[in-house]
Amino acid sequence: MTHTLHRMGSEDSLRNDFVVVAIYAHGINDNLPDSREKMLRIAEILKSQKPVNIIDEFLWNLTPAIQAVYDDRNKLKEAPRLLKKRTLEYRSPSAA
Amino acid sequence: MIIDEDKCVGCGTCVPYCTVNAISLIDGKARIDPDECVECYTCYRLWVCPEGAIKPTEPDWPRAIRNPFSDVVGTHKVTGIPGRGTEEMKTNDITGRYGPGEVGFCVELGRPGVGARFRDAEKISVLLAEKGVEFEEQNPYTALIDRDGRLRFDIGEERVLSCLIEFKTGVEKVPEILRALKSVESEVQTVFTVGVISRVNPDGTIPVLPILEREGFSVRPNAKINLGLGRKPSKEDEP
Repeated sequence: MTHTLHRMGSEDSLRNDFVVVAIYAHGINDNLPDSREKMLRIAEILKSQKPVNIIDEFLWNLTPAIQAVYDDRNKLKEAPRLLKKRTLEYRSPSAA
Repeated sequence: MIIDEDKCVGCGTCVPYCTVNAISLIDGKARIDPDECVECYTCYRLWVCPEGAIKPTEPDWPRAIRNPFSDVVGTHKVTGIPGRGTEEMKTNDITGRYGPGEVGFCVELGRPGVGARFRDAEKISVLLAEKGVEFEEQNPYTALIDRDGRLRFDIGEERVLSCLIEFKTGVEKVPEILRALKSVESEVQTVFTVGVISRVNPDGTIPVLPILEREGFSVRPNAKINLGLGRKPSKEDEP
């Protein structure tokens, strides 16, 4: 699943291909009252960093995981930095 | 999956959509080889047939086992997540599934275009059971095997898009496990990949990397890293 949005390529070409996945821990934090709202906020943060690929928005309300792909190391660093900063303000699903 | 021969016009549009090359044109009609079809529903779900000739079926057991291991957009009833495996290390900051000194493994048999049969997964799980590994309880394949790694049901010939075997063991057993997987390689009639999971040491080093190198395994750059941003819900989070 992690590789759903990965692009194909040689080992070298994949060195700058980064997938960020935010996923609920099944049975632990996927059924809290505001779990979905938090996941949607994470999706917005990931989208704001202009990924080269991200899971279709119509699935955001359905899927247990949000995936985004970056091809730039700086964007990759910024996305978790924002996630950490903003998710500390509320109770977050797990992010990997 | 079946194709209604009366509706099929033999245009061949559906042929390249099959994930395991089970559809072919025979005598001017598209036909599905039922032995090869993994019931992934891709040809049906994408609505590629202009005549609506492709129809899903509700197969009886044991064929019914194919779809849950093949439909990539389905959410598995056992794990609650899409895919054939569990969240493995992605939520380790919450679940603590892999502790210090423990190493997790994901052995994935089959890929799109290739597929896998459970008889091949069994060859590997039997070998792993002999090594005393701890199979992941929430993994769908684990539910299909006994303590000896043998299939509990007559599903050996059932074909699926992919099958994941997940387990963990102590770090000291890693070389033995890797050698066992190599030893069975020539007996498995499909491709399989091996994923290895471990906690990162406090100094930033990864304990399994030197072991993998010593055992002759090259490591792909597409590693998964749990950032540790999650936390367990507290009482105030409860509904």
